[in-house]
Amino acid sequence: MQYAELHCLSNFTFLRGASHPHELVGQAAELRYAGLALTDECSVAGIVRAHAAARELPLKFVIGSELKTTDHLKLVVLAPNRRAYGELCRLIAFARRAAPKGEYRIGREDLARHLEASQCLLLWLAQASRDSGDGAWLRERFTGRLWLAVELLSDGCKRQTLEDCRTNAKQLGLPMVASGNVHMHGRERRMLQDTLTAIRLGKPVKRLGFELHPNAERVLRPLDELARIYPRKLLDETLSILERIEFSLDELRYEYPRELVPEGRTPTSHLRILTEEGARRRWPEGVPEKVTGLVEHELALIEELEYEPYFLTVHDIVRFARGEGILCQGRGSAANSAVCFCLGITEVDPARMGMLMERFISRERKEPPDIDVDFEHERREEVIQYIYAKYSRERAALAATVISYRPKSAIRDVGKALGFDLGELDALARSLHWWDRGKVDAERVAEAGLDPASPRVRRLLSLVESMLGFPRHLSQHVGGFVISERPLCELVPVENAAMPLRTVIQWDKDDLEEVGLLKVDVLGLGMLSAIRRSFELIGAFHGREFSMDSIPAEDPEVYRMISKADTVGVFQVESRAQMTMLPRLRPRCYYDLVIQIAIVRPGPIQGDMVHPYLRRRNGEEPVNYPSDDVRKVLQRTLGVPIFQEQVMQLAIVAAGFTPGEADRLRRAMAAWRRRGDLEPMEERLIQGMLERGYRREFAEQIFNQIKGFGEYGFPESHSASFALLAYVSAWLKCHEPAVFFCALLNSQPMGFYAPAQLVRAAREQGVDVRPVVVTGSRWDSSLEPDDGGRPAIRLGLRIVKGLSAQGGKRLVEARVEREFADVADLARRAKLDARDLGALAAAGALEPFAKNRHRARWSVAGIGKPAPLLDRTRIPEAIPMLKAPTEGEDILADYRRLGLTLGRHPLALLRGRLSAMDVLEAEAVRRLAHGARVRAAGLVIIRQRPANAAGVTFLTVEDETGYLNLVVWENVAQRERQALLGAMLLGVEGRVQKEGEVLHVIAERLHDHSRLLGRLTVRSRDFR
Amino acid sequence: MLQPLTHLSREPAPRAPPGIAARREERLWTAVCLADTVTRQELESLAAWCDRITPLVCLAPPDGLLLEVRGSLKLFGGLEAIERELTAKIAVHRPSFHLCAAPTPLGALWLARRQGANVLETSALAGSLGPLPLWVTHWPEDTLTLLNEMGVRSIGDCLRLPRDGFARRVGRCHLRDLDRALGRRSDPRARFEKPRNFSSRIEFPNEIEDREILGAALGTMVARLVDSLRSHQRQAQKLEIILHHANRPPTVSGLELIEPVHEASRLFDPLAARLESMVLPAPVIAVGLRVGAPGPMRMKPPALFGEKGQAAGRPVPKAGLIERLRGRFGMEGVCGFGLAAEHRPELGWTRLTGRLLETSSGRKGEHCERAVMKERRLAARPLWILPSPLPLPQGVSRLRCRGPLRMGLEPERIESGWWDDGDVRRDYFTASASQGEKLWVYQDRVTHEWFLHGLFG
Repeated sequence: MQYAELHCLSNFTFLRGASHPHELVGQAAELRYAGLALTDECSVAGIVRAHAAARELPLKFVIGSELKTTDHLKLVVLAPNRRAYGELCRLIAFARRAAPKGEYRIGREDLARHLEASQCLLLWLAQASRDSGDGAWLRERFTGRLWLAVELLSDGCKRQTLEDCRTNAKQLGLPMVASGNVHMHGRERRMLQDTLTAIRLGKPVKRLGFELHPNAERVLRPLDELARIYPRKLLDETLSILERIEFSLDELRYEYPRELVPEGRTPTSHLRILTEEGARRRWPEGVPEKVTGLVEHELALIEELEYEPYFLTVHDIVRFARGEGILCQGRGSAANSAVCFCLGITEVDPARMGMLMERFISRERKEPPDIDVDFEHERREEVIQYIYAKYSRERAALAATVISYRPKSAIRDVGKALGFDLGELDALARSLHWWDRGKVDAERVAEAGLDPASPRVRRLLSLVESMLGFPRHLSQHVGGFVISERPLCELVPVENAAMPLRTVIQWDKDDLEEVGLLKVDVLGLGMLSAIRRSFELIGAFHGREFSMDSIPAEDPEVYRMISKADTVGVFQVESRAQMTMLPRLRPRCYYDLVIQIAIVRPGPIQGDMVHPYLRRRNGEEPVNYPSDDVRKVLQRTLGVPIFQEQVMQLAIVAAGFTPGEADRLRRAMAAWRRRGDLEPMEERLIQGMLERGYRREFAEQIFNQIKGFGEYGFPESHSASFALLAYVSAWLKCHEPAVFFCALLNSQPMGFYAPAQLVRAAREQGVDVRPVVVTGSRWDSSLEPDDGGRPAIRLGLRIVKGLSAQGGKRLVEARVEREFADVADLARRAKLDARDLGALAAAGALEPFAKNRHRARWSVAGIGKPAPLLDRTRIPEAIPMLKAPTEGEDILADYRRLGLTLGRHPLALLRGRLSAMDVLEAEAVRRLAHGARVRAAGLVIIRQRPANAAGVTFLTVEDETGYLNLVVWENVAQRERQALLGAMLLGVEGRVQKEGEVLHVIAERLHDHSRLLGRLTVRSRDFR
Repeated sequence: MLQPLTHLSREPAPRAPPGIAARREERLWTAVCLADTVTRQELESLAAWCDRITPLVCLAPPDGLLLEVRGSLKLFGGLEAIERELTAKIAVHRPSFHLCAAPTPLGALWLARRQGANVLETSALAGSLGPLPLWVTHWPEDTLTLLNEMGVRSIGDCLRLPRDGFARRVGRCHLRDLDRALGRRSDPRARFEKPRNFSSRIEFPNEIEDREILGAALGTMVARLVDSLRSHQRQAQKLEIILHHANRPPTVSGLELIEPVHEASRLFDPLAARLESMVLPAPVIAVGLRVGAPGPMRMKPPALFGEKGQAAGRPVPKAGLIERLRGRFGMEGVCGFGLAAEHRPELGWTRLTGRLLETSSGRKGEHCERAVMKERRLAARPLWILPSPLPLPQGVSRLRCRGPLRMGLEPERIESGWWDDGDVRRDYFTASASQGEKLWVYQDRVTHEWFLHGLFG
């Protein structure tokens, strides 16, 4: 006997299905089903995953969808061929677009309109409570491709159900077919399925009563069981339906948009012409021969792989951005090619890199090239709107991101369903603070006041565990655009996103890659905004044009600065981990930066590649290669694999992988932490290397490095683009610090540091930073000449918290007209409301008009709404008896309203009390020897808990003399959790660890001294 | 032009008429400030208790109570004694709270929030309130931020500001608060009214054993109760009859009506039935009637064509009968039988003690489908479910229960209840025994053992 399940929901029918698509497919194959249809409710979001899982199994995979009309007609629609698939996608898109995000809506007439002339097959899920009007209606329209589905679920009424169906089918002349309404792949998911129902209905499980399924029969049942339940004829009918299905996702042929090629040219000739034009622009004195050769080579490769339309598409987007003055920079596998350099997609000069494009694009592996383009983060929306306008919403859409359950959300939802009270769940969810990723352990549970051994808590935890990773809803990808020649909704349904006017397709980026659709990542990058602003500021202040090209390459002074870790604000190398590595690595050229950026990543750190590389670089360890092949791959990184591409190439040259296999290795690497299915790869890799004469030790070392890489491996192609921006930003910081920091301040929020640290860094570099005043500040921070004619930064009104942008801009306009006479004049002419005025006064920006902040606040509070007739009348008033603010009060007010102070550091005021507590200044700590015991304290600026750092938390604290880096080991973190997470002013007792110029304090005890600060609010930036 | 300095503390405040002022002068308020958040209910129950100290108690939510204690000073023998009394009561439930007395309610409350000392003279108020930080006022956050940004940190700082300027910037209502706290402005407050319990009692000149006399007395009391309920717009649901005896504790019997009522007949009949069924352990010297927690009166609008059966889903027509039966047989004596929404058969029905009738709510669409399935399934179930399943001895080839069983073909599988440790996984069958009885048996899917769970009629 054989059977195909034609009605099956996965967990992409959110909160109904209780199994992943791959679990269903795997189980169906295990049970020797002939086929399985994935029929998620009005969705095909899970089919790519199911298709991928089914590809290697003896199982025919069918695509379909369950739909319910607004008048409760229930159907399963199956796609037997490509055309029907397109029709199904259209239908789903229609139903989804007609309803808010996450819902769908389809009336009976819409259904008829979409399916009447289609080739889709329909299973009618008749309901006992309805009369057969539905059946007649359906038969009239869909004869020949309509079945009556019979679902027997051991509910004690089998005979009657069967009887009803027979009568119904006989009357209508419809064939009957067995189906299972499958919600899960195995019976063990029954609890989870009940829980999902509870979450969906917003009630605790125990109050659901008959809303729950009475049993776990909605499962993939073994064939013998099915044979006992269903008449043979009904089971056989599934196979005759299966026979009619000819469609597989592999058939999807994607077509690149064609309109970019002008009449009379082929994509190949057009790309060649554009490239040659670009080359002439890049090298006006004549293109170097080496480059010509490179370009020719690349064009040939592109032609061979038919990638021209892809390059043209990206070029078109970049050309638009350039035209609008939006700075952009491409990265990714194909971006750092000579062709892309000529097309203006990247600024990385191929001559500087000496890389071959094949390093990024493989001839054998026919996957679409990958170019991500970063745009200025504040102007990315313009680019997005351009793409929509150019290709229309029919043909361009954003990829989806599948939002999955994480520990916190799973605990909350499951806990509510099990009837835990909110207090308990909050405590539990809170104890899994943002950095306890991925698992729930018993200790945390006890800490939250729950007994981990009690059955109800055990149930909670086991359900939470199986729920982790379940998709919860579709959100929009940060910038992955899919563009096609023909309407997208014939490829994949489009649905509404939460944001108005945004639509997303039902697949995420991995799915797109799997089915080979073109995706262009249109991303936002804050540093590009800052760099463009820097160029503008230089133009305005010094009166000279400036662009990326104007920055001299390989300036030794820049590298000197970088090597000193003087990199606050510099792209990519400003993080704390980068800063501790810079003095050891001492980058001396562009390629060193490429390595620097890639090496300080969780992947290389966990794969233990950092120290070998450092030792080899410093000549402390010989560089040797087990073979010439390996030398070719690893020479540029001194024999240590650092980049993702190197790992793949190693697999090819040393273990005999095909490029396709190497790509699969890359994917497995990215997913092994989640799925853990790296073993077959391990065997294959090590075996392959042994066969080729490599020592087992070397093979295992390589494998471990690959495993360490995990999902964090960083590609050289991205690093190369980032390194360029890092160099440009470092050059600006080195030579034009005022310009650079001013631009950074105007591009906030971005980067690693808050304005307070940026201003501090600027002042340490000798830049004069001037306070916000209504008589001098513009909306943005700006440059004004100091006595020596050098630029000084005048802080802009934008950093005043509570001041509206419109108010601030009106103020500047009114001032341009005429200087303000007094506060009332300012309020009247700039039409500022009480809130804006209050914000200015409290920020100290009214200083020219009032003796102090308190007086300013009083006087602006007295300015009411301007009455039209009494415009200029003043109400005579007594002078209030207000105390002048103390220095401390001024500093507190600065922090509250500006987030920074130009006065003394708050800790300077507390120094007396801190000294009495034996707390040293950061400066003094830095002079201590390795191993010394120390007490220090500072404002917490950054908290970081890298996922790979085995539970270590890194903190950066700041006092009036500088920064201190703290290392908090797991056990201390556990003990001092409260202070670690909550303190603004953190005291630490510990030991100094010194390694060259790098100093850490290893924390042994932590104290929360925040109350010393009064009402100061310092917000730390917390990173995972 | 500069106006003369008129600061808050110096300007003559708006004066009240002399008579009232004189009386107000006499008042003394004790504020109770509970440090942690309290519910309104807790506050009210404490206020209700406080009426043994003074008749004038006011709620000061969210955290306080105000007691006018001037009149009680003599009775209790001074403020300290009153505070002792209060402390003894509150300390039982609340670890941290504070008491403070002052001539103005707001003054007392603010001081109590900051754990200030008692102030007995109005003239001393400004001095005592001055150093208090502004948060004690519980003014809105925006106001406090504004004042803070002006460098105004205490009540005293406020008082130093010009009145008109303060009013314009901070708000007239806050200026009024300051005036009230300082006693320059009257501060009328709503007296806390205790929720009333209606009770009445009739004493007899001699010991009574005659139920008729008791019945007549009950009638009188019900009439009084009805009047009283009407006048307070209340309805009664829980009632108690109390029979007092000469030398022994009273006999008390309670009754709960199906719905709150205020009509004499609805009240009297069940009470009379109750009284009749009460055992008199001794002669009665007095009879009382007490109503627990009367609710607000809710009247149905009369239907145009008279009372329609189940208007608004209320079981009105049978209610009188049930109440009379309950009056006679006690609350537990009459109960209903209902179906529970639960897949496990042993939990599929419930005993209803409150309401007797379960009104099923009809639903549409999918739920309708479910309802149909439910009905079908229930139709296939026996009416008599055993309290606990009976293990069946397993024969070699056939199940036996008083002889061999013939099994039905259609199993009903039930797998449910994992959430309360009562998980069941069973396949149910109908079976016919040798005598022709129809049985409902199941096989446990975990242990594979067989059980008898019900008998068909």
